Amino acid sequence: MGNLLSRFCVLSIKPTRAADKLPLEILLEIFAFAAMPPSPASPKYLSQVCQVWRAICHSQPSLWPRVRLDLADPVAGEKATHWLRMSGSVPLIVDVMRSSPCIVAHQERVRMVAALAMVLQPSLVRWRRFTFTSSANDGLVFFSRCHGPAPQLRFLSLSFDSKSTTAPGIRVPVRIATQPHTSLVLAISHPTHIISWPPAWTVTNLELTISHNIPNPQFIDFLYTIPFLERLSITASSMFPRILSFQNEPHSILLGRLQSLKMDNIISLSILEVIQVPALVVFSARGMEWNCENTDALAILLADPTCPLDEVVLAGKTCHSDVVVDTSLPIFELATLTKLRISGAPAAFLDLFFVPLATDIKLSRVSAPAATGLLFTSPSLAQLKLSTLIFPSEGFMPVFIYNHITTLTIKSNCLKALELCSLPGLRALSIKRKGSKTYPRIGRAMISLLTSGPTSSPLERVHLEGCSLFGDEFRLCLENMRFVRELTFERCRAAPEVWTTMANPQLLPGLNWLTVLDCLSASPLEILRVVRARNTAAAMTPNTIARLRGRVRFSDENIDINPDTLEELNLTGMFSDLAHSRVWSSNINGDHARSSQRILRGLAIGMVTTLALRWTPAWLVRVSEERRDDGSLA
Amino acid sequence: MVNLVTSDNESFTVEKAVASRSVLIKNMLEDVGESDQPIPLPNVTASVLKKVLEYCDHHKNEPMPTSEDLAAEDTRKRTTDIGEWDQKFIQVDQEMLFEIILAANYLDIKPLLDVGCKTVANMIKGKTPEEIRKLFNIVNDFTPEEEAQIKKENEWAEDR
Repeated sequence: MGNLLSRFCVLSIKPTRAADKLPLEILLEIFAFAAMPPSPASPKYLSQVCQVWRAICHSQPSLWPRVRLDLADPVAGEKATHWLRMSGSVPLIVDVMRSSPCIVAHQERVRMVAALAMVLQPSLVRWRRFTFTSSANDGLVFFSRCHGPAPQLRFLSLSFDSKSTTAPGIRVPVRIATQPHTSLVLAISHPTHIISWPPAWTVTNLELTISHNIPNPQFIDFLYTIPFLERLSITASSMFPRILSFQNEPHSILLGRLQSLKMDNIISLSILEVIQVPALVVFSARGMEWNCENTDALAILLADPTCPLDEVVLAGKTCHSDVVVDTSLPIFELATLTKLRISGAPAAFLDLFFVPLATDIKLSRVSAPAATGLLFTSPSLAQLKLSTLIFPSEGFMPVFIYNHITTLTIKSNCLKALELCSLPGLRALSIKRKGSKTYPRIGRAMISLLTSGPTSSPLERVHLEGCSLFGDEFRLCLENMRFVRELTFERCRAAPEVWTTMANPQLLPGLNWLTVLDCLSASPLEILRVVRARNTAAAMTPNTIARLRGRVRFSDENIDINPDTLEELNLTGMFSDLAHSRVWSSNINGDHARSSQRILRGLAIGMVTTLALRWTPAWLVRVSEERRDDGSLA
Repeated sequence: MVNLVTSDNESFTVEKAVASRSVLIKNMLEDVGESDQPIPLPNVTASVLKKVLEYCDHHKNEPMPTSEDLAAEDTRKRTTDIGEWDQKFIQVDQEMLFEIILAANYLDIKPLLDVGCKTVANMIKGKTPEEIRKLFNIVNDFTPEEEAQIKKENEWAEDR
C-alpha cells in the first residue's frame, strides 16, 4: 500500500476539479461498489482507464473475485492465470462456459478443456461459487482434470447443453469434495446426463431446469438422494412447459425440511400428491394449468392446517370457463399466510380461500365478485394489486371498505373497481396501462376513490401511466390531494388545465417531487411555469408549501423544446432528459451551442438516455448512460 | 443549536441532532462541551454544506451506524442499492456529487459517503474504459508498453 500511495502521489496531477481530489481510499471504496453485483464492473476495464486506476486495481485482490472463462477462447488459460494471480487468496466465483459450438478437432478440444481445467485446479480450494455451462463431453474432460477438496464451495451450477450431441445418459462424475455438513446450493440444468456426486454433499437448495418431461420413478429416486433439501425450484422454458408425472405413485415421500417449493412452467401439480411437506413456507406455481386435477392437488396442500405457509403464488395459464372445481373441497384456512398471488383461477376455487393475516395480495384475470369475496376474508390487507378483473355483465357489486390498505396498484382495465372501493388509509396509488394506444380517462374513478372516505384522502404518492388526464374530474382529483408528496405522470395525455391547476400553490401543498415522462401534451414551458409558480410561493415565509423538484423526459412528438427552458428546468432541480434527436438537430445552432453544452453538463447524473445528435459538437459525439427504475445504470 | 462556518465564511445554525450526524462535529461537540463558539469547517463550501445538512436533517432520527454495523458491512451486508430518498437527493451535477463525497469523507458521515460512492460506482458499471475516461474527463496516460499489455488483455473473451 505504501508503494501504491507514493505512486498515486506521483501520478496525480495537480487537482483542479473535485473528481481529481478524491483520495485513494475513496477511489477504492468506489471500485469496491462497482465490483458488486448486479452487473459488476470488470476490474480489467477499470484497470485500463489510466495509470492510477490500474495501480489501484492491481493492488486490490478483492476486486478480482469473479472470472468468466470461455472454453471457445483459445487464450482462456492466459486470462485465468492473470485473474488467479490478481485475486490473491480471495474466495472465487468461477464461471466456465462455451459461447460458441466447438469447431476444432476432437483432440484439440480435449486439449483446450483439459488445459484450462489444470490451470483452475490449484484454485479449487478458493472456489465459493462455480458454474459450468457446456456439453457433457466437455464436463467429462473438465471434471476428470479438476477435482479435489473445495472447502469454501457453497454454490455449484452444472448445465449440460440440451442440444449437445453427447448421448443421453452419459455419467459425469463430479469429484469435488465440499466441506462436510455445509449447505450447498446445487443448480442443475437439462439433467439428461447423470451427474454423480460424493455422498458427503449436503445439498440444501436444488434449482432444477428441465428440458424434457420427467416421469416419477427417476425424480422420486433423485429426491431420496437429497435428504437435507430445504428449497426446491423446478423450471421449464415458458415456450416449452413440461410435466412432472406422478400419477399412480404408490408411496409418498416426506420432505421434512423443505421450506420452499417453486415450479415455473410445470403444467401439472401432481407432485403435491406424492410429497409431504410439513415445514413448507413458500409455494409457487407459475405457468401451471387450471384444471380439475391441479385444483385437487392444490387442495391437498392448501387444506392442510398444519402447513405453515406464508407465501403462495398460483399463476395459471388461461382459465377455461368449463373448469369444474370439486364442490367437496374443503375451505383453505391459511392462518399463517401473509402474501398471496393468484392469476387466472376459477371463481369457485377462489371462493375457498380464507386468509385472515394476509397483508399483500395480487389478483389478476379473476372474477370481480370472487376477488371481492376473497378480500373480505383478509382484514389486515395493506398492499393490493389488481389486474384484469372480470366484472359480471349484470348484478349488484357491493362497495368494499378496507381500512388498512395503504398501497394499491391497479391496471387501468380495473378502473371500475376504484368506484367500488373505499380505502380511507390509502397512501400510495398506481394506475398503469402498458402497451396500448388508448388512454382511459381516470378522473371519474379516481375522484370516486378520493372522496369515498369521511375525511381528506391521506394519499401521498400517485403514479399514473398510460392514462388520460383530461376532464374536470381529474382537475377535481388534484384539488383533493392535500397530502400528496410525489406525483408521476408517465406516457399520459394531460390537458393544459392540469398544469394550470398544478401551478396554483393553494393546491397540492405537500408536493415536493414531480416526475413527467414521455407525456405527449406536456411541454417544457408548461412544466417550467408550474415549477416557477410553486417555488416562488415556497420561498415566501411562512413556508406553507414544499419546494418542487423532480425529473422530466420529453417524448419524440414534443415540438416546442427550447434549450433555454430545459436549462432553467435543470437549474430549478427538475432534471430533464430527452428521448429526442430531431429537436436538437434543428434547434441547436451556433448561438445555442454553449448553452446546450451547459445543459448536457448539468444533466442529472445517470439520467441521460441515449442522445444521438445530428449536429455533433466537438466535445461530444454520443452520451449514453441510462438509469433504470431500480436506480442502477444500464 | 450548533453554529457551523464554511470555508466561504457563511454561517449555518442547525439542530445538534442534525450536526451530530457528522462524527467529526459530534466529537468536536463532545470535546468542547456546551459552547456558543462557531465550528469552522474550512474544507466545505456553503453550497455543499447546504446539501450535506439537507441529508443530515432527513436522516436525523435514524440510529447512527455502530462500529459493529460498519464491520458487518465490510463483510457481506453491503449492496449497491440506494434508498429512494437518497437517490433523489444525490441527483446533482457531477462536480457537486464529488464535492458531497469529499465533504462526507471530511465530516465523517459514512452513510452519505456510501451514497456518493455507490452513485459514482453505478455510473461506472457497464462502461468501457474509453467511456469512463470521457465521463470523468480522465486523460489516458498509459505508456506504449502498458498500451501493448492492455491490447493483449483485450484479446481475452469478454467478462460479461
